[in-house]
Amino acid sequence: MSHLGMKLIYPMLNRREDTWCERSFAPWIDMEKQLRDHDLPLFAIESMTPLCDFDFVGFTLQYEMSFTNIINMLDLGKIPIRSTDRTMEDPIVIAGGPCASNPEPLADFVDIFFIGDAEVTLDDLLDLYKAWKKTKKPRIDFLKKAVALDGIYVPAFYKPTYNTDGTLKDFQPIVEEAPQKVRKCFVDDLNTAYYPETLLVPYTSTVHDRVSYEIFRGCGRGCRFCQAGMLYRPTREKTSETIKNQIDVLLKNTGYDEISLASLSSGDYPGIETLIKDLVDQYESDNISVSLPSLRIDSVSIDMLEQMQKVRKSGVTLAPEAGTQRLRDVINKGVTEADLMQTVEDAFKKKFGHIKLYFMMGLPTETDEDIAGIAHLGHKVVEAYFDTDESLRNRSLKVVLSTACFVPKPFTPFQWEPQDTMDEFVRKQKHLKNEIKSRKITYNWQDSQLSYLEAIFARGDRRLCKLLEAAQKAGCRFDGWSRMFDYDTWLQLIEELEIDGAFYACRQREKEELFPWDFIDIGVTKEYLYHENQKAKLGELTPYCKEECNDCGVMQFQEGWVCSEHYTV
Amino acid sequence: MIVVLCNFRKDGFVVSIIRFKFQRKEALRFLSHLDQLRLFQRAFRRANIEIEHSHGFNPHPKLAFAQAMSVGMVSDEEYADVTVKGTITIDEFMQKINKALPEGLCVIDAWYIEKGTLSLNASMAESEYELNVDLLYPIAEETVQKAVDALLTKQEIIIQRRTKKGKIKEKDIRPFIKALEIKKIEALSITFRLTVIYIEQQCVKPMIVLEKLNLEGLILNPTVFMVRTMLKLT
Repeated sequence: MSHLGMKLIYPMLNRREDTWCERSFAPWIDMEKQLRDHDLPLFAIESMTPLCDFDFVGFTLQYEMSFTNIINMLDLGKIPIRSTDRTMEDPIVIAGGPCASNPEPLADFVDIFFIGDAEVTLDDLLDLYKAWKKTKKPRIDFLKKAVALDGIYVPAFYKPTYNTDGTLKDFQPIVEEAPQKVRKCFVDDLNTAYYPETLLVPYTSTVHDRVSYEIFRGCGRGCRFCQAGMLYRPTREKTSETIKNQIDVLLKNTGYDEISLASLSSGDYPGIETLIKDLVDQYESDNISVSLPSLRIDSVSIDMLEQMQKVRKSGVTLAPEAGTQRLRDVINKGVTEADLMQTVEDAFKKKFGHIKLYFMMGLPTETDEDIAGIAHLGHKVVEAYFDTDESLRNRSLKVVLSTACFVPKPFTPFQWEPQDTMDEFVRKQKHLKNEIKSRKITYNWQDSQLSYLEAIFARGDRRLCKLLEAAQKAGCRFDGWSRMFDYDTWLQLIEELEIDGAFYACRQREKEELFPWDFIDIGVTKEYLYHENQKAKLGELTPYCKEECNDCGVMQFQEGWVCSEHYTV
Repeated sequence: MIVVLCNFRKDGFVVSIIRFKFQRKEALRFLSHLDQLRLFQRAFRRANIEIEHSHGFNPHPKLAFAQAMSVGMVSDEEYADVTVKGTITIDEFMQKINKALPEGLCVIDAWYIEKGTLSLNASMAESEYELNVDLLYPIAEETVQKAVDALLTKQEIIIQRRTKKGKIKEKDIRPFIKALEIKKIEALSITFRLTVIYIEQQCVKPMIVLEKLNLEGLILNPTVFMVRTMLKLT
C-alpha cells in the first residue's frame, strides 16, 4: 500500500469504463498457511475474486528479493507459474517497475514486461487485449500484437545463446514481430499526463501513510551507483502550479494530514524552498505537515527542515554514501565534508539531536582508509555537537551510522564491476566497528548474504529462473525480511542447480561483454556508461545535467527531445 | 428555526462542541480504536468540517470517543464528542460527515453540548450486548440456564488482573452485571443478552463474564460475535 506506482496505476485503470482493477498483496506466512490448508486461492481484496479469474495479473518489481513472492503469489492464485503452461483460461501476467530493467531472471514466469513509464502504453495494451479477446485466437496472437507497442517486452519471443565461459553470446528475437531492441517509454510532460485525484486511504496505518506526491521524474545528478538516476532520465518537472493544484485536490479527497514531496532528489526541485514555504503557509493552519523523503546534503538547508517540521519534529537523515572525498568523487556524489558539517552544525543549533548517516560499503576502488573515513565522519559529527553552544543544542545526542552492501546494478556505470565477497564485507564491517570510538555513535550494518543474492539476481539472466522456482518450492518467501531470509536453503539450491553465484555477483566484466539486459534501450547509451566507469576510476567528476549536458544519449533517444525544455534551472 | 450553540475560545474564535451517536457495522468491525480515530479525523477533513486542535507541542484533534471499541465488535450505539471550529448546523454536520464516512460507519444522531458538560467517559451508565457464541457440541438450554443462574446468584465474582505496574489485583465484577439471559439457542450456537452498568467509570468486559460462566463447550476464542445494542448515558 506504500508504493506510489500502484496508487497511480490503480485509479488510472479504474477510470476506464471497461476495466475493473483490484489489489492483491503477498499474504504473510500465517495467511498463506490458512489458504493452503483450506485449498483457497489467493484473491483480490475488493471483491475476493481469485487471481486466476482475472484477465491480467500485474506485479510491481521494486526489489530483487521480492521475486520469490511473485512466484508464490502466482502459485497461491492458482495460475501456472511458467508462461508456457498457461492456457486461454489463465490471466496474462504482466510486470513493471525498476527491476524490469533487467527482467531476465523472471523471463519464464512473466508474459509481458513494461519497460519505462507504464502510463504511456497501458491504455493501448488494454485496447489491443479487448479487440483480441473477441477474436478468440490463441494467446500468442495477443502477445505478437502487444510487442508492436513501445516499451513492451515479451520474453518468450527471444532466445539467448551462451559462450563456453557462461557469458551471453547472442540474444535474438525468434518471431518477426518482436523488435531487436526494446525501447523504454517515457511520459513527455508530467503536467498534462494522468495523475489521480484521489488515493486509496488504508484503514490501518501503512508505511508512507500520507499524500505521496511526485514533483518530478528523473534525476540528472549522475551518481554512478544509482540505477534510477539512469533509468528515469530525462528529468521531467511539474510546474509549481500543477503541484499545488494537484496536492490540494488530493488532500481534499483523502483527508490526509501530511504531504510528502517525492522524487529521486526532491531538494533539487528548482524553487523547492519557495514551494515548501507556500505549502506550509497554505496548510499550517489546518495542521497539515509537509515532508521531503530524500535530501542531498548540499541541497538541504536546515531552515527548510525547520519549516517543514513546524508541526512535527523528528531527526535528520543524510546520505554521504562514502567515507572519504576520494571515494565520493569516484561515485560522483559531488557533496563535500564541508557541506555535511555545515548542515550538521546548523541542525544542532536548531535543537536536532538525532543524526543518521547512510553509507555504502564495497564501492569500486574502496580501501580500508575509506572505511575508516566513515568512522571519522561520525566522530566529526559528535565533535560538532559538543562545539555547539549548550544553550542552543538538544540535551541528548544520537548519531547513527548505517552501511549497506553495495550491489552493482544494470544500466549504471558500475554494471561491469564485481561485488565484494561476503568475507570481505564482514571484514570491512568489523574494521569499521573497531574504528568507532565514541559511545554516542550507533553502527547498523546490512547483512551481506542478502546483498549477495540481490547482486546475483540484479545482473542475472534467464538461467536463474529455475533457481527462483526451486526456492519458492523450498519455502523461500519474503527474503527481504531478515527473519524470513533463509540463506542456507538458497546456498544449498545454488549448489544443487550448479549455479555459480560469483559468476553473477563478484565477476569483473569485460568492456565488450554482451549483458542480458542490453536488448533494452533506456536512452542512456552503453558507451556513455562505460565512459563514466572510466572516469570513476580516475576520480573525475561529471557535472550535474542542468549545469552542463554530458551527452548521455537521452537527447538522441527521442526525436526532437530537448532536455532543458522540461526543467527549469 | 435553526439553533446553533456556540462556545467562545479565549481568543474570541467560535467553536461548537458536538456530541454524536454512530453505528459500526460488520464491514468495519475489525478496526482498532486508533484506526477508527484516524479514520474519523480523515473523514472530517474530507467533509470539510474543521476540527479544533489542541494547542500543545504536538497538536491533536479534539475528538473523543466514549470508549475504545473492541476489535471485532459491531455496535448500534456509540458516542463521540468533537469540537468544531466555527458554526455548523446539526443537519449540515450529519449530512457532510455521513457523505465522507466509508460504508460500515454512520452517524445517526448529533446535538450540541455546552462546554463543561460531563465527559462521555464519565457519562456512561449502561450498556447492552448481544453475544453470539459457537458451541463445540449441542448443549441443553437448561444446562446453560443453570450456569447463568449460578453466576447471577453469586454475591461476588472475583477476577484477577494485572495492573500496569505488573502487580496482580483482585476485582469483584458482580456489581457491574445487571442482567444476563439467553436470547436464542441453536444447535451449535447460543446468543446471550448481557446488560452491564458503569460504576465510577469502571465496568467489566463481556468476554470476562462469559469466561466466568464456567460453561464447558463454549468456543470463546476467536469466534464470539459481539454486538453492542445499546449504550445509555446519564
